[in-house]
Amino acid sequence: MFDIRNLTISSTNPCLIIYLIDQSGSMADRFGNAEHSKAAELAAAINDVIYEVGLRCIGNGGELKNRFELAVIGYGREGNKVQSAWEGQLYNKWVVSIKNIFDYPLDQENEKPIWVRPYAIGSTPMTRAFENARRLCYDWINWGNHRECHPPIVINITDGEATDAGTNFMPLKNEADQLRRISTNYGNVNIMNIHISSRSGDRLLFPNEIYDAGDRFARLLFDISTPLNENMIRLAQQKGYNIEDNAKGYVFNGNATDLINFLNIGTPQ
Amino acid sequence: MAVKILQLHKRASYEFKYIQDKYAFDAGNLCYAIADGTTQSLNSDIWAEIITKDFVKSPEFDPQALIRKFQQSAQDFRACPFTFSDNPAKASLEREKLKRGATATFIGLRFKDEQNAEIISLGDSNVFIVRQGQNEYFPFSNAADLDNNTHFLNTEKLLSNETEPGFFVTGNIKIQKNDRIILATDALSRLLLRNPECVNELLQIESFKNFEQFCLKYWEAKLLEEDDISALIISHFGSATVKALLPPKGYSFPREEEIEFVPGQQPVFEPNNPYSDYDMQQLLNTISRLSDELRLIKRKASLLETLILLAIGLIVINMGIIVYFRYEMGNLKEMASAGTKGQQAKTEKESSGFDIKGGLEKIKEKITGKDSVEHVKTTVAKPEPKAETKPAKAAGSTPANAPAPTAKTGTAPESPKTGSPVKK
Repeated sequence: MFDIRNLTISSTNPCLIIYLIDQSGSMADRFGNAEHSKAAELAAAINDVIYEVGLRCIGNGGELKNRFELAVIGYGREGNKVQSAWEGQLYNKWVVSIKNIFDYPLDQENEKPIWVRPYAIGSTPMTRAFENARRLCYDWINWGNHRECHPPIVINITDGEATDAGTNFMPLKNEADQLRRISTNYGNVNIMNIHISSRSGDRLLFPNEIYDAGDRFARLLFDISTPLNENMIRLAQQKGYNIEDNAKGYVFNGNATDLINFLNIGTPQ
Repeated sequence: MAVKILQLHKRASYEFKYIQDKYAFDAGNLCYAIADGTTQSLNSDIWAEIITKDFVKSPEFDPQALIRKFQQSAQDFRACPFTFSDNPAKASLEREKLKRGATATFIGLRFKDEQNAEIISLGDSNVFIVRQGQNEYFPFSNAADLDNNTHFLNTEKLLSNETEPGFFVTGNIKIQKNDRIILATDALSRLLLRNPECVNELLQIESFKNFEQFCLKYWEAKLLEEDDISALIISHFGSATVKALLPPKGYSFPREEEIEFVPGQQPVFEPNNPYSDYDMQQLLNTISRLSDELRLIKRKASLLETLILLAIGLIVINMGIIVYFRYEMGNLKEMASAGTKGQQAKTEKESSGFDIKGGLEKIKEKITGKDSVEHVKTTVAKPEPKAETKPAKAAGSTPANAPAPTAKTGTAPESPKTGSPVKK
């Protein structure tokens, strides 16, 4: 393994970020005390973070550099299916370079491009979503010079319990385990989870441990999250989060700002 | 002072004109500056150039005074024209980028005399004072501290008074006769802080070719970040030599073809496959289990088939025996009813050749497999009554010269369905 501190994400050494977004029926519920749904909040956050990634890829002279390649995978929208959440010209594409993303936005809202619309239908096939993330990561790493790149980052955003993980969640745990074993020369795949719960309070950001034995799904998502790397910890601390070494990439009941910050922290500078 | 300038752009920029590190110096004022425009801000190279030039023209080492100076520089930067992209999504990014301003690091140094220099710095560039015996560093003495730097010189923050004097680090350094001073941008600074032995190697470089080899070697070894690499090496009071080791005209790194990654190089990739690997494994297990069970069932069925065939065989044999006996018993009954009609019975016997004892002997013979002819000889005992329609002339009499039944009489009747013997 090489020292990740010496790695600069560039168009020759891009980074893959995979967002797994829950589009199941329960996402139609309100987001906290807000007027809009969790699905709307999630779609807005994803659009914002894509825009943020774009800002990091725009070169000194205004040219967009393919420093990042993004996948947005929705699960639950069509029955038990996992599918690319890109729409419009990018429909059915899985991994899209930032340059193409900005060439083909779905629409514009408030003078900003959008790519993803909110959906809240169906079940929660999270295990399959992780399986797809694993396949994508595997393919991506074994393609071109991607072994020389920053390890892919998988960010799962969900509000509920997986409907395809059985009672003991073993299939999901196995998938996550296989996923985090995949590596580039700079380290293993990072898995992060943001858990949007209908429970109010209990906000928990990047913990080292969780003690709430009452929510076994929170425990599961915490367990399958990987520790934040040095760079992410630094960024989180810069954004004012009180986190320690070995903090895990897990957020429970974060608000909209946390959601954006979380997604940004998951995006290496 | 003798100045040696070493610069090489990052490979991803391809051409030297895109380098975002800038430097300036005023040999008369003994003033030097270096700035690293950040990749992620628009026109940061222009911003880096503005601040280095403005600084060496009239250097300031008081942070508050320098902020005021750079605020004017930021206004100049804002006045630079910018053409937005035709792509609305991209133009939106450019507007946002411009709103966020241009960002750079900065180090300014001036020799007050032969023994003293003053420095002001903001950001993650660094100064190395190379001295026989022990090197000195400013402001960062290790890479971790350099990485933890969070302050940069941003145009918009300057103009909105968000840049505080405390963000700057200032200092005075004592200079010795043979000291050499290196002003380096962040990537090179990290390399020199982590690998101090590289400092002397850097100082030995006297040509661009050597500098290129130095960068390529450490880039390939992953010890040097893929970034613009810049250093100003200052030495020798009394000398006014300026040596710029810069890429020659037309120098560029090869452009790498950008090929879009298409997932699914492996045939297993089928994102919409409704069955996951886990499901497929379960199915495989089920099929395998069914296959085992089927094999077992086949074995059992084969055994059962043999038993059934055996049973059917036995039943057929039994039925044959039963039919035979029924037929013979029917004959016996008929003969019994004829009872006393001896002569006729004799005649009938002769004609039919039936003998119950003989019949029994025949069966026995069949079962035991003994020679049939021998038994036939011994089975001629008494005449048997024969069911016949004609009355017997002398009941119970048996003619001595009655012919012995032939082997034919001991066999099963040829036409059991007739139910009656054939008259001669």
